[in-house]
Formats: sequence, structure tokens, C-alpha cells
Amino acid sequence: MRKSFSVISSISFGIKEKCQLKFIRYVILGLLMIFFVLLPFLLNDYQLHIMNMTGIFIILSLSLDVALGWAGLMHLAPAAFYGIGAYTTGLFMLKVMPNTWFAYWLSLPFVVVITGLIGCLVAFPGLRLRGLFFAVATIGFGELVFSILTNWVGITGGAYGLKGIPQPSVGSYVFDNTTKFYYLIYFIVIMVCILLFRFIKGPTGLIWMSIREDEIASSAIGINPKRAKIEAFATSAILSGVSGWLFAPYVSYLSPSNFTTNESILVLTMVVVGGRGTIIGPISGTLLLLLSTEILRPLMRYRPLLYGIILCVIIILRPQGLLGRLKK
Amino acid sequence: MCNNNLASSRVIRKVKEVITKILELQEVTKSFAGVAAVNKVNIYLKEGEILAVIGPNGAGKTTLFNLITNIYHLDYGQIYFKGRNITNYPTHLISRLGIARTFQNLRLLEGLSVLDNVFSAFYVSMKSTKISCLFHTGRYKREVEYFKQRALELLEESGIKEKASYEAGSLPYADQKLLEIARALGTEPKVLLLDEPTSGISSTESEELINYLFKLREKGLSIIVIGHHMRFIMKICDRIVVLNQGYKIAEGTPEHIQNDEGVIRAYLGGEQNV
Repeated sequence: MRKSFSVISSISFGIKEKCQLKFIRYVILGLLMIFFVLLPFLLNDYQLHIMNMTGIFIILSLSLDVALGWAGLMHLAPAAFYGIGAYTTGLFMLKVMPNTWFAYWLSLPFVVVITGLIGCLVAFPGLRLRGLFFAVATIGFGELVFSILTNWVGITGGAYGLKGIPQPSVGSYVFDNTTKFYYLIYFIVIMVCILLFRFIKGPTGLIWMSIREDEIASSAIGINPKRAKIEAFATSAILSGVSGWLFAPYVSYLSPSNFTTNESILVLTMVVVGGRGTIIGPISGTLLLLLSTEILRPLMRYRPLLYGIILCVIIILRPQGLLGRLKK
Repeated sequence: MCNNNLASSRVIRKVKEVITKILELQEVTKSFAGVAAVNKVNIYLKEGEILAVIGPNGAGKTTLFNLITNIYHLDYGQIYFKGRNITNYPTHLISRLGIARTFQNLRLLEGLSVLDNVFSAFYVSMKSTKISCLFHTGRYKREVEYFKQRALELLEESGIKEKASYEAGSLPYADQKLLEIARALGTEPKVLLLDEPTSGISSTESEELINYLFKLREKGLSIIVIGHHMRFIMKICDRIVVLNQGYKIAEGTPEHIQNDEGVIRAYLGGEQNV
């Protein structure tokens, strides 16, 4: 028999062990915290920009992991919801409430509601399909969003994109450089991680996992599988939207080419390489993929080759992902 | 006067019968590609009764359970639960009404711990919202703690409490069977459908299972059990229904069934006479 990672509680540990473990965990978390707070002073502006994009992509890959890793839905359009979130923020700041400092913060609830609603609208008919068929349907949705962003010139600016999204500010304090954005983005990343952790380690996560493991058994204990799946998909959509909300003012220029299916596939790779069904997995996958492209930069044109080799080696040696859970 | 009394007592008996029939299947029929797996079967279950459904392989026993829980949709017929027509209710609503089941080939959440498996059955009865889960409100924490204790109680009753933190898929087969029953009990059912609880477990273990089932019946549960293991079935059940090739061929007390010619013929072969 094997000990298991318990969702509801770790009753497998004695009190003393538990305290020790907690202590070690806090120490590690504290050190990490200090490292992340000091990071802007160690890096130059470009490197910090990479870190910021990594943060945005961490939220994106976590959002995909909710659908893919926990609820077992083959969701291949996180970039579409990322785009919807980013454009909603941009349009809100430019057209609905221009020249007010709180427009940015006010746009967050709008992003959450809009991406959540669209997530439900996609999932409701879409989840009549299963597995790969659902995956193809979501790719279709991703393309649909991309073509709307490209062709609805009157609102989205079409292929020219949405220019001049103002920087967020609190009163007169403006987030006007990479360092300030760094703190903002990683604050949101940590918040998302904490909330997601609570969600996943609670009954909701348990239900999503039970749907993933066995739909018939779940419905036999009274769980409505359709509803649980729609909830998971909508949660995923909302988190993608939140990463778009961070992305829009950070780059201040949105173009449809940021939200193609290619981006979705990149995020998918991050989740699979890092490890599905965990929180640390997608984070590590994102860090590996985005940072390795930068670290391998001196190799010039051999870079994609080495990048590909790294991915292959990881998938062969650790099919459950870099920091994924050990499966039988 | 005398006549009147007799009539009223008959009415009372009739009413009582309706009340005590907690689950009733009327002429349920299901065919797969033209072959009738279950054909016009009438079965009822009284409150507090253990009913056994037996029959040779392919008799349609498991199909019957899948029809009751609407995992397969009925072609024809009606199903009543406590006098309520539940014929086309979706599976999760049937479970919420109080019909729990186990599966022949075990459908556990294998990667999760034993405790999580049982806990998942309490999800439906939890009242705290997702928002309170996000903010870890006191009420949410209390509720989780309460249901965790309930889950541990259920595990204790089924005798696998000390394995609560193990991965469900790594348990011995007999324990997995017990775990599945414990999970089914987590939904607080009125009727428990057990599909082959004795397959693949030893005779001492099945003794324990018999005691467990009697205990459950004392608590007021009505149980339908499918089984191959005749000694086990004869020991526990109050009434037996025999199916063969989708038809009900006999019904009655264990003694009656043991001497029924049609049943013996179905089991040992011979001229088909349905």
C-alpha cells in the first residue's frame, strides 16, 4: 500500500512531524520571499521584463492547469481568454473610463465577469463533446476569438492593435517602470496561488479530481458532472482573464498576434512539462520554458534545437512532468 | 359490519404495502442492439429488507442496477422510489434522493487517499459556498472538520480506518470493496445497491461483510445485493429474485428458490423454459 497526498488533510503525519514540516516549509517560503523581493535589484531591466512576462504566464499556465490537470478537460484555448481579458481591460481603460486612475482596478471585476460568462457559454454546449473532440472545439473557439480581434476594427483596432493603454496608478503613484510592475505582477501571482491552493485543497478541487478520475462514479455519489466541469472551465477562463488584465497595461499595446493558438500551445507545453494537477508544476514549467530561452540565447541558432531536446528529455524521463506527482 | 371491517383492513394492508415498498420497478425493459438485456422485469424492495438478485452470467443483473441509477436509459417501464416516479431522473439526482450503489468493477478515485474518497461523497451535503472556501471562513473550516470526522466514522465502521491516508488504488481488493461501500454510505442513502460485494474476497472477509450488512439493515437501510456466492446470498437475504437472460424466472424466500425447478434448470442447464 502507498501513502497518498491527501487533499482534505494530511492526517498521515504525526503532530510533531507536522509541526517540523510546517516550520521547514515556512523557512523555505520565507527565503523564497526575500529572494523575490530582492530580485529587481539583482537584474537589469531586460531580465526583469522577462521575469514579469514569466509571472503573467505563470497565472496563464495555472489557469490552464485548472481545466487540464484537475478537471481533466482538454482545454486548448487559454490564449483566447487571455486575449479577452486583456482587450476588456484595454477597452475599459481607453473607451469606458478614460483618464481616471481607478479605471484599471475597476476593470478587474468586469474581466472576471466577462471571461467567466464566456467560459460558461463555451463550456455549456462544448462539454457535450469529450476528450479530443472538446479540444478541437476549444481550438475553434481560440481561432474565433483571434479573428474577431483581427477583424472587428471599429472596437479592437484590428490588426493594428490597441495602442496607448495607460499605466495603472493609485492616485498619483503610477506603475511606470518594470520594477513597480514586477511587484504588482508577483503580488497577483501569489494571491492567485493562495486562492487556487485553497480551492484545490478543498472540496471543490476534490470534486474536480473525482470528475477527472471517474465521471460515472462521481455522478453516483450525487455530483453533477456537467456542472462541475462548467465550473472548472469557467474558473480556468477567469484566471486566464486575470493574466490578460495584468498584461494589457504592462505592454500598453495589444495586438491579436499575442493571442493566437500558438500561445495556447506554448502554455500547454508549460503545464505538461511542469506537471499537471499540481500548483508547483505549471509554475516550474513556465519558469523552465521562458527562462531557458533566455539562458540559451548565447547559442544563437542552435537554441531551438537544444530547447527541443530539453523538452523531449523531460517528457521521456518524467512523463508526469518535471515536478508532477509520482504516478504508478 | 364484518364485511366492512374486512374491507378496511384490506385497504390498510394495501396502503401499508405501498408505503413499505421503498423501491419499485415496473416492467423495466432495456435492449442493446435488439437483444433484450432486461425484459419486462417487475421487482420491488420493501423497507428494511435485503433483497438478492441472482442469475447466471449475462442475466441482466448489473444492467438492472444501471437502469435504476439511470446510467443506462430505460426503453420501457417505470421506476418508483418512495412512491415517486424517478424514471428519467439524472444519475446525480437519483443519488441525492437516497439511492447509493457500488460497482462491480470498482470505481474508486484511485489516485486519491481513502479518506478523500469517502469525503467526496459528502460534497453534496456541504453547505458552505465556494467563496467561503476561498476565504477559509470559520464556518467552512468547521464544516470540513465535521465531515472529515463523519468520513472517519464511516471508515471505522467498515474497519479500514487505519488505512485512511493510503492511496485508494493501492489497497487490497477486499478493502477497496469496503471502501466503496463506505463511500456509498456517505451519501446517506435509504437504498443501497451492492453489485457483487463478495467477488474476489475470502470467506472470512465475507463473514465480516455479512455482519456489516446486518448492521446496516438495523440502521434502516434497504439493500439490494447482486451475488454469485450462493452461501453468502442464502445467509443474508430475506428474499431472492432470479434473473435469466433478461427475464425474471423466480422470486421468493431462499428456501423456495433452492427448490425451484426453473432456477435449477437455469443454473445447471437443460431445456429452456421461460
